[in-house]
Amino acid sequence: MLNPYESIDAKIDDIIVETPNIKTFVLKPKEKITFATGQFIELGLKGVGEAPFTPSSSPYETNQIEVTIMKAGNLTDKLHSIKKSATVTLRGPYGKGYPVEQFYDKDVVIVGGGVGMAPLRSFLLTLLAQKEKFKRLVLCYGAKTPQDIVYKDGFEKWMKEKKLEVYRIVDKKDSSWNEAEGVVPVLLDKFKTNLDNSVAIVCGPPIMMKFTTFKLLGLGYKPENIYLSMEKNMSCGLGKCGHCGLGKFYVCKDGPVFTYDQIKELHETWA
Amino acid sequence: MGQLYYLSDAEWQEVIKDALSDYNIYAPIRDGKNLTYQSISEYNVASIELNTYRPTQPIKTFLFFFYEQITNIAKFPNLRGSVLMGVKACDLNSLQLYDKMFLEGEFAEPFYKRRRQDLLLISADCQDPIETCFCTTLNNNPYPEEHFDINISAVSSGLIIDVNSEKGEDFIKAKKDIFQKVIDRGILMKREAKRRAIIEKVRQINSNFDIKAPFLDLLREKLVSPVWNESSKTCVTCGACTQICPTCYCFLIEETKGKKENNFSKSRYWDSCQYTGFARVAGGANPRKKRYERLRHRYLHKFDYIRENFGFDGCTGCGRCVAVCQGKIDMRKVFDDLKKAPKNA
Repeated sequence: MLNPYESIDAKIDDIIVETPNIKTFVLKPKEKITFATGQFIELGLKGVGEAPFTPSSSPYETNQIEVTIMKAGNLTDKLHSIKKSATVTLRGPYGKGYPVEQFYDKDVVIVGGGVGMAPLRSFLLTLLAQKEKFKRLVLCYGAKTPQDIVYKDGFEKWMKEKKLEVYRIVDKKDSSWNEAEGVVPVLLDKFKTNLDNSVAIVCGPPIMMKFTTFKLLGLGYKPENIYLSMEKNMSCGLGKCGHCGLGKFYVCKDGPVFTYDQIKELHETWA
Repeated sequence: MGQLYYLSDAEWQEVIKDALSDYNIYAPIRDGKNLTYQSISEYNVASIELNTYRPTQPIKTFLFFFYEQITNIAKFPNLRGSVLMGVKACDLNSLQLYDKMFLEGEFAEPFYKRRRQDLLLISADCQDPIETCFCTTLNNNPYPEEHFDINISAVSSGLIIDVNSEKGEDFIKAKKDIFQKVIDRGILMKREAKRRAIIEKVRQINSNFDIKAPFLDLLREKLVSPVWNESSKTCVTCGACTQICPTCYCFLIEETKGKKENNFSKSRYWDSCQYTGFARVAGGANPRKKRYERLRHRYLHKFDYIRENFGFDGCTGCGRCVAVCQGKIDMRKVFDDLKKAPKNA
């Protein structure tokens, strides 16, 4: 009988400092892990514990996995203090990822906030690898300050990418910033998409997701075309332990990606 | 229903005594005010109480341990040759949900799966419902209808033994010569009459509560109601209601460091949605900060979410949560109060 609780070891090949409290860990798993973009893994430190993270790398890159992690609690504090070549544990992937094929021939609007850009980077890289299949690609991203922007090298490349329109905003600008200041939903007024043929993919802090969703609805996006990554504390990842309950769903097996249509009636959607 | 036999009490005791050499048998023994499953030997075999109500422990304590190491194990622990006897219908009915949750879906829970295959279940008709029993409110019967290997119904001066599986047949094999097939319709009619009488007794116990499952519509209509806050006022968030519940299955995984570097193991233990941090995420956001939100969540999970997903309720009416609550919170009263309260006030 297989034991779904067992993890495999992964060596940390590189650590990229993204912001003062966000790092990207480049991992080389002992055994190959293949995942669909948007699925998550349980990453752990031996004897400390595990937590759910969605890889930020492209699923087409199969010899390594990148995971972008913000310092936010016990495990992530410890992860931020470990060094290159240390070992972490991985199991997964779990859940349903982004239904990329359903987005073919559409206008795809990606909306990220803060470290919520992590799964969206994986998603974006997946789209860019087959960009001719999409009608239009738009990326909106917001962070607290210019220093809090993740994937600075990535954005430099993406802003040169012809197929992709990039809009960025920070809550509080400084002298280095000559782009927009404000909150993420504001970016959605900067362009127009064909609403009959558009999808919006949103990931960020709960408050940002809430107001972005309301803004999208106000602009005329249909609830079934708004995709949200729901943050819950998945412990087992197997659809059993009950921690990630969201109404009748378990986010670990029914999500983590939901359309707003699926969850709009639930009283805990934005709680 | 399987093959029916009729035995005297003494004959059945012979069967059990004989089985003691081959099986580990656990059965209800009076323990002060409580009935608890205890390991049976020749010394206490005569004290087994079959014709009563449900014992204190739910059967998940045998199939899904409170705390257990789940990685770095040489092989999955088994329950081969173990028998749980005297199980009541309210506990057997909990297996419907446990089997759905832990045997189906993309992943099976390997420990539960193993023990569930192994454990032989000998049930018995409930003969003595207590004040906290409310199986009939959930449209369940106080006598076993499925999930048992052997069921025992005390009738007149004997026992109707219903052998319902191959595992059950194996168990009685050695003493097969004393098993007489039931051919007397009168005995079966007596059992039926007795079962009706017990149903009536459970209804009588609950005659003060004007409630009947399913509760899905009631919960949706009264999602926002002062009743939730009122009902949870005496809750001390001890989690006893979930620990003692035969259908509650939520758990948490923790890791322990071993002595050598790189040596570690994971363990799983029962968690409770009544604890403050149950749904808290990294960074501190918590969708159920308040006591009433957590109490309400327990009801929503059992009677809305589980019913939506599987078509039955996540409660068997065993009444243990009522019996164990330090704050004297009675699920029946909560539903009764909700029913009387105005819609989404």
